[in-house]
Amino acid sequence: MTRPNTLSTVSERLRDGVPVEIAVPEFLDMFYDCATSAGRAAMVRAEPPPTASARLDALLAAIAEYLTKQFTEADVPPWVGDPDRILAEPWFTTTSTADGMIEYLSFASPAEFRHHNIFTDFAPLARARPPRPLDRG
Amino acid sequence: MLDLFVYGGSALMLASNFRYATEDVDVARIEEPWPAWLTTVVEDIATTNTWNRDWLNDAVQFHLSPIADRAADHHVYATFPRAGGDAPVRAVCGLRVSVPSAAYMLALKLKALRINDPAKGPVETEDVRNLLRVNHVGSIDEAIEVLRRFFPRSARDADRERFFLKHIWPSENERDDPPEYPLDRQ
Repeated sequence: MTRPNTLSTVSERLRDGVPVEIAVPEFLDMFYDCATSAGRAAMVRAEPPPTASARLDALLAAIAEYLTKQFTEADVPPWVGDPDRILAEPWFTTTSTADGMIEYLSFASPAEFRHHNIFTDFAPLARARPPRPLDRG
Repeated sequence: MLDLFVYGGSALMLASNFRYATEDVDVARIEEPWPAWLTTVVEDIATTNTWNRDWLNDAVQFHLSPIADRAADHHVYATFPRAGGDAPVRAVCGLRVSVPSAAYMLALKLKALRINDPAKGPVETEDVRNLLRVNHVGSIDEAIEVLRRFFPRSARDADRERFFLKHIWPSENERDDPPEYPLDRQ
């Protein structure tokens, strides 16, 4: 299957049972391979359909917000701020329950993830292939 | 003959009994230009499976150890045609696929250590824990020594690695079936 090139497609694949550790990295490779701000913004502009998982719905919004701010010159799409995309309880993206790890993630998590009550490592969503430089021509 | 060195999740799928899926195939840089037959085969496989044409890519090259040995730190997984008899491999094979040793694989995982990634964190954590076990690494210091063997500069300042390892260290009896990396036994 070709890699998803919009977050909506990612959401559909997640609903179809594709593991998040496959669907999201494949999308990231497509996003980072796009060299224009407009092209990248288009990949996250449309609101993805719900996945039936509050965590995944919030994660998709955090991904859209983070990628838009870090790797485009566009405005963050409005759907990102939907209250349904903000978790009621914090989600620490670790298998550890140790206080030290929770505290680390509380400080390390980028603001775009904290906004959605998701606490992850600094510089998340990295891939072996770095993002292509933006073509500003 | 083309030597293909496979890394990441694909290598674990080939060499271990604890990884079952990956999103692409990471290989060491292949000499340019690619042989015509390889380009054709890669495109045919992409078309047949409706995959992206860069499903086989060398983006991992930047992350590899410059001091890893192509022979000592890798295992031949397979050849095509299959090697056999007394003929030297180079005389009969057009393709040889190799994967890193379990120690080199662990070092690569420790260098990246993406255990808290919101999408891949749980899988990465399990990969590291399983590789610690197949390498019979008994302490965080031993794990850092494996890292040092391949990435000495990273190991000199390994506070982050030590912190993360402390929080994901596998317990003695957490799995009935111990992880395996059978190629290390050959």
